[in-house]
Amino acid sequence: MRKPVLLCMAVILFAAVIPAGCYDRREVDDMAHVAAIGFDRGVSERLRLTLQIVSFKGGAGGGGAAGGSSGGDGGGGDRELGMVGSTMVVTVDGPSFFTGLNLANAATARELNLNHAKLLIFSEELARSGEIDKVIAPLKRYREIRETMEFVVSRSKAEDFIKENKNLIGRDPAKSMELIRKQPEYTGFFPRVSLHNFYNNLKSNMQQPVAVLAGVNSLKNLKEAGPGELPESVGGAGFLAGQMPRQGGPKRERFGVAVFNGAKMVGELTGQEARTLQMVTGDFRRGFFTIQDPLAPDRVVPLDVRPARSPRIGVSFEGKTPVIDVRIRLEGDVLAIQSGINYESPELKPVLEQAFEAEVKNGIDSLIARCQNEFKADIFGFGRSAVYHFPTIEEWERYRWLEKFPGARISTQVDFVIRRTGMMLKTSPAPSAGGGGE
Amino acid sequence: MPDQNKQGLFSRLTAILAYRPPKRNTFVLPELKDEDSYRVTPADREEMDYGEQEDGRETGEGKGKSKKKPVRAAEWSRVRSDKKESGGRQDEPAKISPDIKVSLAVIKREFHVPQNIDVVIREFKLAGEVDACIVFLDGMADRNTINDFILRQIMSPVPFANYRGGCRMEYIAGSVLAVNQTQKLDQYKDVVLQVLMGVTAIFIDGCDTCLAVETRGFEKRSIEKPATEAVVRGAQEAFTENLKTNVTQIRRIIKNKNLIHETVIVGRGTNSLISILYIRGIANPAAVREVKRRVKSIETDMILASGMLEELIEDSPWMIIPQVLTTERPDRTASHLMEGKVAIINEGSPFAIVVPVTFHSLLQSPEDYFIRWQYGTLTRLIRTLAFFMALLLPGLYIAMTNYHQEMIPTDLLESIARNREVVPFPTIVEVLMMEISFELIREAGIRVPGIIGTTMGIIGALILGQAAVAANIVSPILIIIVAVTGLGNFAIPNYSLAYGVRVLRFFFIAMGGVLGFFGISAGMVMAAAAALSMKSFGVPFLSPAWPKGTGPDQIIRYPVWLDEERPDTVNPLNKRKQAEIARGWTRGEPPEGKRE
Amino acid sequence: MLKEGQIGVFEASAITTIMIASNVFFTSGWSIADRLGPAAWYGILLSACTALGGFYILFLLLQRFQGQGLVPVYEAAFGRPAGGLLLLLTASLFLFNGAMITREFVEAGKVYFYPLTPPSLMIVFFLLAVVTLLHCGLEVIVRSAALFAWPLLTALLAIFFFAGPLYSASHLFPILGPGPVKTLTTGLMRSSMFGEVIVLAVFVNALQGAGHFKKAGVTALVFSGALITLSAIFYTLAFPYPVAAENTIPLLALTRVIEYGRFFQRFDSIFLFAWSIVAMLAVAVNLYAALSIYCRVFRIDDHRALLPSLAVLVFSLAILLPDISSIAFIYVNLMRQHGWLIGFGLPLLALLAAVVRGKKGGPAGA
Repeated sequence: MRKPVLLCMAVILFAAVIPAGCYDRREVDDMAHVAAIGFDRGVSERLRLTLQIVSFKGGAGGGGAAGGSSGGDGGGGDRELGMVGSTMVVTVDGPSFFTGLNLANAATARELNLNHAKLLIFSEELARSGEIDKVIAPLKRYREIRETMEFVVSRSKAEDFIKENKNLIGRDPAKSMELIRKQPEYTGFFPRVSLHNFYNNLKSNMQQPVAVLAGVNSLKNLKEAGPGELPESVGGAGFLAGQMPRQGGPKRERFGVAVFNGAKMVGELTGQEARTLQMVTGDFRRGFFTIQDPLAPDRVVPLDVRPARSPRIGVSFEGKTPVIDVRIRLEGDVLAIQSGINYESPELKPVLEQAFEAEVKNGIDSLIARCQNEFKADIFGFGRSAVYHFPTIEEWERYRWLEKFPGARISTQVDFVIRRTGMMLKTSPAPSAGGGGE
Repeated sequence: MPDQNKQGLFSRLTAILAYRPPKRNTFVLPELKDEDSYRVTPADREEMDYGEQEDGRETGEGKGKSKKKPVRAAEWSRVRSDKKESGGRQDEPAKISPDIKVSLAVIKREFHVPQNIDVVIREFKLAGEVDACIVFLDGMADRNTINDFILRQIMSPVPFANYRGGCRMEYIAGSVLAVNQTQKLDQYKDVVLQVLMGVTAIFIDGCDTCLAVETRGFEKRSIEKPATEAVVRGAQEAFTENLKTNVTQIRRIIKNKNLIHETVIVGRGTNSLISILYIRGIANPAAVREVKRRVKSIETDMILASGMLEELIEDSPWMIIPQVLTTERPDRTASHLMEGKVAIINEGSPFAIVVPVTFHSLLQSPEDYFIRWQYGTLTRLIRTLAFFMALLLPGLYIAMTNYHQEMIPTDLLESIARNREVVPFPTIVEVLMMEISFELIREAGIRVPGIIGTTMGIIGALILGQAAVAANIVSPILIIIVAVTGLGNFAIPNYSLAYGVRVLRFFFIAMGGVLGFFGISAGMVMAAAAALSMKSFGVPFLSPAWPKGTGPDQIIRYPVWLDEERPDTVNPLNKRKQAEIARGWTRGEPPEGKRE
Repeated sequence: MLKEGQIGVFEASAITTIMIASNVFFTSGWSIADRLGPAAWYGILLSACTALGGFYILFLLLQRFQGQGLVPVYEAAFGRPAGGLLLLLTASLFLFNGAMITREFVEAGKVYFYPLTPPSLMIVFFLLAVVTLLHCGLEVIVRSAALFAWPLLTALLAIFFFAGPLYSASHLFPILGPGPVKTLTTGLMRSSMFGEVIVLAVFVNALQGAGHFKKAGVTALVFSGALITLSAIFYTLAFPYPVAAENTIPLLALTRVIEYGRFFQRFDSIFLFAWSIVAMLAVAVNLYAALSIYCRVFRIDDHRALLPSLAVLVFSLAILLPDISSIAFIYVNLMRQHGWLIGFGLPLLALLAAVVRGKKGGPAGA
C-alpha cells in the first residue's frame, strides 16, 4: 500500500472516530448515586417510587476533609426538600419503574446512577397483592441493578422506611447499609436475602422465596412505667419488625421474615421464628438465646449458639406423600447461669442441653406446621433434597412438589452440645446476712 | 582641557543618540553547490579555502598552498598531466614509495600540515647516515615512549653496529627498537589511519614500508562507579570511554583463551573503532557473523555514541522498545558473554551493547545475582509489578473512574466524588496535566547539577502536587496515581525501556479514556502483537516465554547451583554450564563431622 | 507461499482452545442452558467426545496425505474445482464465525458494560486490534494466544471460584434434564462448536509434522471440552434451570453476582479484559484461517494485501444483523446445529473421496 494512501486512510479513520466522542464516559461527580429504592402502590399511577440518593456533602479537596454532615434533620426546610441526613429522598408516582426513574431524574441535577444501589424495599401492600413479579421483572433485565442488592419487604410504606433510613454512626450512609446486611451473622434475627436469592426461589419449583421483614419503629414501644407483664415465652424475640420495645437508634428496623407463596406474600415470621427458619435452611450463624432454667423455673440461662454442622435433611416418598426427616446439630457456650446451679458439671450439663433441644424442637415444629397449614409454602428448601429422586425434568415438574408439601410428614430432631462455659467453671453462692444465700 | 573634555562628553552623548552607519558587514553563510552537500565522505579537495595561515610551519612544499589561481579550462588538462609527471602531486600513490621526500609530501598533504598543528613530523638521521622521519599526532601519542624508546635508540649509532644491509626497516623492527608492538604498513591510507589513532609511523629513506609503532597514550578518565546501574553488593566498576580499558576490564573477568576481540572501523568521518567480543565455542557462529555483517556494512559519517550504533544495527528501529541491551558494567557484559551473546563496544562510549537480547533481560538488574536467590526473585517480581504499574496505572484509573464506576467501593467512590467536586477539569485533562508536569520535573532534574538537583526534584514534586491540590486543580488521589507511576518507572532498570514505557503510557491513557477497559485490552493486544513480532538479531524478542524455550532465568531466579543450562534462546553451542551437582561438597561426607 | 513460520504444540493448542472456548463466553451458553437445563454439562461432554472422533477422521485424512495442509488435501481428494468450492465454503464458515463473534462481543459489551456507545465505534476499535494481529502474521497470533493463555485461564477459574457461596448442588438435578434422548441428540449436534478444530489443519504446515498436529488437536479438544463443561457445571450450580434459561450471557451473569464482603463486589468489569482478549484472539484466528484458505486456493503470496478489504467486509457483516434476538436465535442455532457438517462432515467426505479415488501422497509443491 502506498504511503499517501495509508496516511489518508489513517487520517480519515481518526477523523471519523475521535469527534464521535467518548460515549459512556461519565465523571464520578457527574452522577447522583442511588443507595436505596423503594416500591409502593401508587396513588395517581400504578407505582410509587422512592429513591434515596447519596449527596456527597461535606469535605472538599485539600487534604483531610472537614467533618461531613452527620445525622439529624438539618432544619425543617431541608426536611421538606427530602434531606435525610446526608442523603436526599425523592418520591414520584409513575406507571413503571423506568418512567418513574426518568421523572425523578428530571428533578435531580445529575444523572441518576443505580450501580451502587444496595437496598430494594417493597411495601407489604404491594407484596400481598401478588404483583411482585411484575415489579421485579424490569430489575433483572436492567444492567445497572445488580442481583446482590438486599431484598426487603416493609410492613409500613417503603417511602416511610426510606425516610427513616438514616445512619447515626459514622459518616457514610452506604457503609451502614452494607454493614446491616452482615447482621445475620451475629444475631440471626433476619436472614440475608438478596435479589438473586429471591428471584431464584421465585422461579424455582423447589423452594418458595422469603424476604427480610422490616418496619418503622415508632420508638414508643418501650413502656416507661406501669405494671410490666412478663411475656409467656422467655425467648424474647416474639414480635415483628417495628414492634421492638426500644428507644434510640434510627426508626427503621429489620426483624423477621416475610413469607411468599409464589409471587404473593402470605405471612410474616417473628424474629425468633426467623432464627428457627435459618437453622433449618442452614444459614444460621450465631445468636444469643435465653431459655428458662430447667431446675430453677424463675431464672433464665442465656446461651451463645452456633451450628455444629449443616442440617441433614432426608426426603423419601411413601406413594405420593413425601416423608421428610430433619436433623439439626447445634453447639454453644453458656453465657450466664443466673441460678448458680452447677450446669458446668458433666452430670447436669445434659439437663441444660435437653432443655434447649426441646425448646428449639418446639419452635421448629410449630414453624413447620405453620408453613404447611397456614402459608402452604416450602420456605425451608426441602424440595432441594427431594429432587434427587427424580430423573428427568418432566417427572419432577409433573410431581409438583410445592403443592405436595403441605401434606408431607415431617419429623425433626435437634442435637445440642454445650462446648464451653465462658470464664467460669462454677458459681459460688453469694452469702448475705440474714435471709439465706441466693 | 576642560573644553575638550566637555566636548568629548557632549560628542559622546550626541553620538549615543545620533545615527551611526554600520561599520562592517555581517557574515552570511554561503550556499553550496549541490554536489557538495550529498557526499558521504568528507570533502577533501585542494581548492577549498579554509583561510589557512600564511606563516605556517616550515615544511617546504606545504607553504603557499593556500591561494591558487584558477586555471583556464583549455589549459586544465595540460596542467593536470604536468602534475602527474612531476610525480605524485595530484594523485596520491597508494603504496609507500621508497623515496622519503615523496612520502613526506604525501603525508603533509594528507594531514594538511602546516594548518593542522597537531601533526608532528620529526625528521632526523638514522644512525647519523640515512634520512628518516617519524610522524605522530601530538596528544594522541605518548611523548615519553617516543622519546625514550624510539628516538633514543633509532638516533644513536650504537644499535646499528650489527647492521649488515638490506632493508633497514626489518633491522630496526627486529633489533633496535625496544617497543612491544610494531606493524609494517605499505599503504598510505593505513598510515594515515594509524597515525590518527595515536600510533607513530616511521619512514626511512630507501624502504618501501613504514613501521607503525604502538605509542598510544592520551588522557582518559579513570575507572569510576557506574552512573546508571548502581548495585549494593557487587563490583563498583564501570566502563570508561577508552576501548582498551573496557576490553581489559572484561578480560579481567573472563580469563578465557577463547574470548575473541575483533575490531572494525566504522564511520568515514570519525573513523570510530568498534570492538566485537564473543566467546568462541559458546556463541552461535551465525549470530556472530550477522553482527559482523551488520556492523561492517554501516556507511555513515560518524558514530558518536553507542546509541547511534544501536539504532544502526537494530532489527526494527521504529519500535519503541530497544532490541539490544546497553550496559555500563563489565561484569554484566561478561555474564552475557558467557551465555553466548555478542558484545559490541564503541570507542568513546562507556556503554556496551549486548546482542541478541530478550525482553526479560531488560527487566533484570545485575544485583539479582549478587544477593540470595530468594531476594532476587522477590525483587524481580516487584520490578515486573512496577513495569506493569508504570505502564497501565493511569489508563486503568481513567477507565475505572470514567466508565466502570461500579467497581469502586461506594465509600471510596464518595470520597473521590467529594474531592472531584471542586476540580473543574475532566479526569483525562487532569491526568494529562499531571503527567506532563511530572515529565517536566524529570527533565529539569537531569539538568540541575549535583545535590541541588535531587533536592529540587523532590521539593518540586511535593510543592507542585500539594499546591495543585490546594488550588483545586487536581484531586489528591491523582497525585498518588502519578507518583506511583513515576516510581514504578524509576524501578525499571533499563534506561531505554523506562523511556519506552513512558511513551506507551500515554497510548494507554488515550485508549482507556476513549473506551474504558475494552480500550485498554485492545491496546494490550496491539502492544503484545507488536512486541511478539519483534526480533533481536534473529531471536524472537519475547522468548523464552513465547515461544517456549528453556531457561528458568526469567522471573524466578533459581539458586546458582540449580542454574545448569544456558538459555536456549541464543542457541549457544555449549548448552550445559554446570554439572548436575555443582556443589561437589554435597556428595559424600566431610572428613570430620558428627552424624546427626 | 504464505510465510507462516513455525509454531509449537503449546501455542497451537492454546489458540485452538481459545477459539473453541470463546463460544462459552457468548450467547451460545444460553441456548445450551435453555435446551438442556441441568443436563447441560454432560451434553457438552458428549459433544466433546464426538468431536474427538471427528478429529480422528481429520487426522487420518491428513496422515494419508503426509501432513499437507487442508487446501492441498481437498484439492487432491475432490479435484481442483470442486475442492476449491468446498474450501471456499470452509473459508466462509471461518469468516462468518469471525464476524459473528465480533458482533456477539459488541452486543455483550453494549448490554453489560457500555450501553451508550454506538456499536460501530466498538467494532472499529476491535477490528483495529484484530487487523494488527493479522498483519503481524500467524506466528504472532499464535504466540499472543500462548501469552494470554494462562491469565485467561486464571480469570475463568477465578470466576468459578469466587462464585462459590452461591452454589447449591440441588440445581444440578434432576440429573437427566429433559430426558436422555433429547440430551443425546442436542449433544451430538452441538459438536459443531468443536468443529472449529479444523483450523489446525489449515496451518498444519507450520506445525512441524503430523504428530504435533495430533497432539495439538487432542490437547485443544480436551482442554476446551473441560473448560466448557466446567462453565456449564458452575453456571448450573448458581442458577436453577428456569432462571438459567433467562440470562443473555450466562457467564457474565455469573460474574455479576460475585460478592465477597464489602469490598469485593461488583467486580464484573475486571472480567471485561478476559472477554475482550478472548474475543480478539478468536476473531483473529478465524479470519486468518479464512484468509489462509483463500490465499492458497487462489495462489496468492501475501495475505496482507487483502487486509483492508477484509476489514471492511467483516465490519459490514458484523453490522448487518439488526439486533441481538436475531443473533441469539438465528445465528447461534443455525451455526451450532449445522456447522458440524462443514467441520466434520467435509473431512469425512474428503477421506472417502480420497480412498475411492485412490489419492495419497506427499507434498507436491506449493
